[in-house]
Amino acid sequence: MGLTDSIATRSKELSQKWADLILGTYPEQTQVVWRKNRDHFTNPVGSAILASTSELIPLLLTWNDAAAVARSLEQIVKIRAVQDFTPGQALSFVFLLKKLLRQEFTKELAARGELEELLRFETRVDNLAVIAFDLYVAARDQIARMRVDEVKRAHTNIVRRANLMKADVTAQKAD
Amino acid sequence: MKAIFSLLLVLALVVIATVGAGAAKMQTIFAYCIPGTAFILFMVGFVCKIVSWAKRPVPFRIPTTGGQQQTLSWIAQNKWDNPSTGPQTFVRMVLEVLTFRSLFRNTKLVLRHDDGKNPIVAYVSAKWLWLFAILFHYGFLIVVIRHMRLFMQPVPMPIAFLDQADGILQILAPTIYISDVLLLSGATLLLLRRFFDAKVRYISLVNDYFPLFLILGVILSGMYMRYIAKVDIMAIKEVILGLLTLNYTVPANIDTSFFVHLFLVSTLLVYIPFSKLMHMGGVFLSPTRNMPNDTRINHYVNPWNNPAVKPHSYESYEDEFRGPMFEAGLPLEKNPEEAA
Amino acid sequence: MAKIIKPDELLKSINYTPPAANWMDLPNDLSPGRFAYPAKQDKVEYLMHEIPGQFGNPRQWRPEDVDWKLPSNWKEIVMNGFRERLDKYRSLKLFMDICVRCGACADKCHYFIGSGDPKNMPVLRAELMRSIYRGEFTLAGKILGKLTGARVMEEDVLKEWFLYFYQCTECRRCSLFCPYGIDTAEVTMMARELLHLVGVNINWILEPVANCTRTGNHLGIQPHAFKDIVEFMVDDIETITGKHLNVPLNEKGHEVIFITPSGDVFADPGIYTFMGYLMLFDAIGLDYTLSTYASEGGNFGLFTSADTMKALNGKMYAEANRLGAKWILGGECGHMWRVVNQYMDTMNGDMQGPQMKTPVSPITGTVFENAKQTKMVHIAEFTADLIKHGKLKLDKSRNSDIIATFHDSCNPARAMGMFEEPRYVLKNVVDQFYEMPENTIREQTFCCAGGSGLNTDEIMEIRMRGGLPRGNALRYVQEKNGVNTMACVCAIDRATLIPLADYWAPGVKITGLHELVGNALILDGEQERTMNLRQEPLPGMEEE
Repeated sequence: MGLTDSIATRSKELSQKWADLILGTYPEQTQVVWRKNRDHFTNPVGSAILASTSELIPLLLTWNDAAAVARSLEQIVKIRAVQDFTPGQALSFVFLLKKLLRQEFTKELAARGELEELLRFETRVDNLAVIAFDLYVAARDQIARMRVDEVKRAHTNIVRRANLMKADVTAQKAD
Repeated sequence: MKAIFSLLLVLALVVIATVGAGAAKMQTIFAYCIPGTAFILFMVGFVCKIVSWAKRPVPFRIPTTGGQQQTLSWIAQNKWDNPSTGPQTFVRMVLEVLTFRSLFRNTKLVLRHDDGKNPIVAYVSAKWLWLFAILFHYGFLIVVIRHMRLFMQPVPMPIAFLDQADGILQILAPTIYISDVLLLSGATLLLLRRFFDAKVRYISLVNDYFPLFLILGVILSGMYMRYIAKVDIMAIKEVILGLLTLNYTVPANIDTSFFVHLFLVSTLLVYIPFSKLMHMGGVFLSPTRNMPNDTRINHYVNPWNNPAVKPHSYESYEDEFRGPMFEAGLPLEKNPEEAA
Repeated sequence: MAKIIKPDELLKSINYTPPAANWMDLPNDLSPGRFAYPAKQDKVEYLMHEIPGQFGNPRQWRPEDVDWKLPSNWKEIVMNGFRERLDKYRSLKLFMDICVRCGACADKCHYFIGSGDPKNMPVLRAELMRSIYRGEFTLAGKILGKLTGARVMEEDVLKEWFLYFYQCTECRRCSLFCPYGIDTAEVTMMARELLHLVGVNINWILEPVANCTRTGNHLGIQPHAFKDIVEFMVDDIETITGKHLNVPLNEKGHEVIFITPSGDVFADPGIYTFMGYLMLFDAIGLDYTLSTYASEGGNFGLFTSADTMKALNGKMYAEANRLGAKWILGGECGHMWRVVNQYMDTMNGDMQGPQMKTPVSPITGTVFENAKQTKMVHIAEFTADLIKHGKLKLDKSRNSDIIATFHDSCNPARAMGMFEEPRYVLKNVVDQFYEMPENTIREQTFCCAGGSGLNTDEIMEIRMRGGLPRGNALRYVQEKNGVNTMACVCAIDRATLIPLADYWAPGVKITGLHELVGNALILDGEQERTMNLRQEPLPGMEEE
């Protein structure tokens, strides 16, 4: 059985393990709360991580729908972009998949001399990282933009009044 | 670590009582002096604590509202969760104290899928904590009331009846009390929850483990007395009535387990007023629960309201901005000439 | 600035499992983005003069510096303040004593849900203060120390308070689930009062407080400019409806004085809600006036200290008396209504002049018995009553492009209990309305994560992660029911929910309730409307 087939048959198990590794990047007592509570509304972070990993593994196998990949990734990336992480830590979750794949398959494939298969598959994970990077930067850009927009909105009518005064001045000059 | 420390503390208490009343024969001390002192300390401490809360003012009415307010006549008010009168508030408190209504709220929502794979929202209750708490507290209450038969001669009808009802299962001899089972399972489950629920473990202190171990010690020593040592209940009643009538005699042949039980109960009594166990009194005084949501309807007085705190006055406001206000045509108390 | 991590470090970070440290041993993280900017020196000085005894130690300081330039006796000041408040508030004393750490509140806080930071569990947030109470004021705590969760006051503890009591929006969600009603909002208020005494504060709260004191509105706009701005909106209404409205300002002898948060006057999209109010008053011919002196309904004093709240709130009655108004009508605002409902009459009721009467709707004759003491009615109550009596001509089709949901703001929900009135109004002005999931609305509503003076942009990340539970529930109805608009009755919500929706549920628009009323409302003598209050084409009026 080739690597992709193995991954496909163990898809559910692998996505759970990947999600566990990601949850491992949070404080210990938080992990346990988030692992236990599968509730979409009272535990949005835990459930988003699991939802995302379960969607991404099949998508990595088919690897023909970039938009779907981005949509799934975005769930996690947007959350981690506003939590207390450095950019590196925020995106490390993608590489945790690499770690997982090596853990699970290196021995087996090396024994069969098919390690290349893993390397080939890993390029997809690398691509995932690149997409995640784009999404992360987009999220951070959005935060910055929202900050500016918010300040502008808070002063909408003040700016309007200031502009009006300016218009008055120019009107006088024209006289 | 905190749990082990607490467990060791309780074990130490057990050893003290076993050695003191058993080997050292200081039965008078353990039968009369310690429980008597403990009871006095408990009463004084409890009253002092309640007084220390009650004498502190409640400056504002700050109920947490859990339902629709009293409003237009055609909108139904949720009187129990958002009371606006005294009797309604009383009902809210009764529900809170007798049924732990706030804990009961602890619902959890899950996303499920129907047959057509459409997401539907389903509710699952997360009521374990509520259940454990109810088991524990009601078990405790029944046990305490049942013990009253040891303090009264003759035993009043209601207590005798409760005692009978509690033993209605008629299994084992002596008959097992239902309340013992409730209390033991409640206390054990609450303890296990502290061990195995990570978020609760993280916030738990010695102040949380110690009373649980202590109460478990009380329960287990009590059950040991009844079901294993099968102590002479009439002899014990004599001791207790002796304590109440100030007629000290130590009847012979009381198992040491009685003294252990009594010593742990004494410790618990002394511990209560100085600890979180005072929540039994505090819950009645909580301003977010025991007040009506009515400060738009009735005047409420803050005893320390400071009349010196006044708003920045309109006069100083107009003084500061009179010129531009006048130019803008805003009405003024004094126009600029008058003010000048 | 985040430090650049080398690849091998990154791999290590992958294996990283945080140590199971006691929470008291975790160091404070004061990196940028984790706190709001401290208050400007001149604002603190002004407030020290205006409202004595609440503030101290005006200076320039930076939270990221090690030295916070605290007064040498800061510890004494804080501990004396703590002791004083334990005697003034039964709530504080009781909440310090009776928590059993059952954990029922632990996962109820939006900040904990979104960040996973254990110190955001309500029980632990209160323990930040309770530990000091035990260590400094109880015998057992002094002897047994950490074992009983006690510690002594140190500068690091003060910094921790600053970090975490400014990550609590005083929303009271935890209090709802607590079997003893322990209210973290109450604890947070006390902690903030103590921090103010030694000059540890945030500008986003103190500058509005200073501005409201002096000019009557949070931006410090002077009265003549305020008048111009109101006139812009009158102009806009004329553009939309063809009708010029007369809006009285500071006029004596009207029956009602209307007070709303000044954010509705300055900020998009609150301004459309404000236009909605003006149109409503015109439609029913209400005899009312606005005031520039009391132009701020919101009360950032609630987030500062009890005396500050009282001083700001007193303007409402003072102005009602000066202008001879019989009762006060209050606009859509969250924390303003906590103040009006739970504090106003207790604090300032004795200021009410003899002309003030139990509010009676002049249009329907309804007596607002539930406001007979404060003499102040919420506009949602007022409008619901008008609609119930059929006094408004409404054209729902103008809102037919809107699929709405309703966000219950924390304070009207859990410090007042106003749930049905706004829903009744909403259902009468829009056709399509869907509720978010049940445990995210009404008394269980999730905060916008910008309440209690935390709606400032420098902590946008904190707000976004705290807003995740609300955003998530919104996203759910967006995907399931096609919801494209979230209505609310709070000025802070109208500001904070916009980035929240942009981030977590892009495409959902935020409106005030009376913006939708204004759209649907048919005024006497208006022209045929082609655009809504935002001057976007109405459904069916889009140009080819």
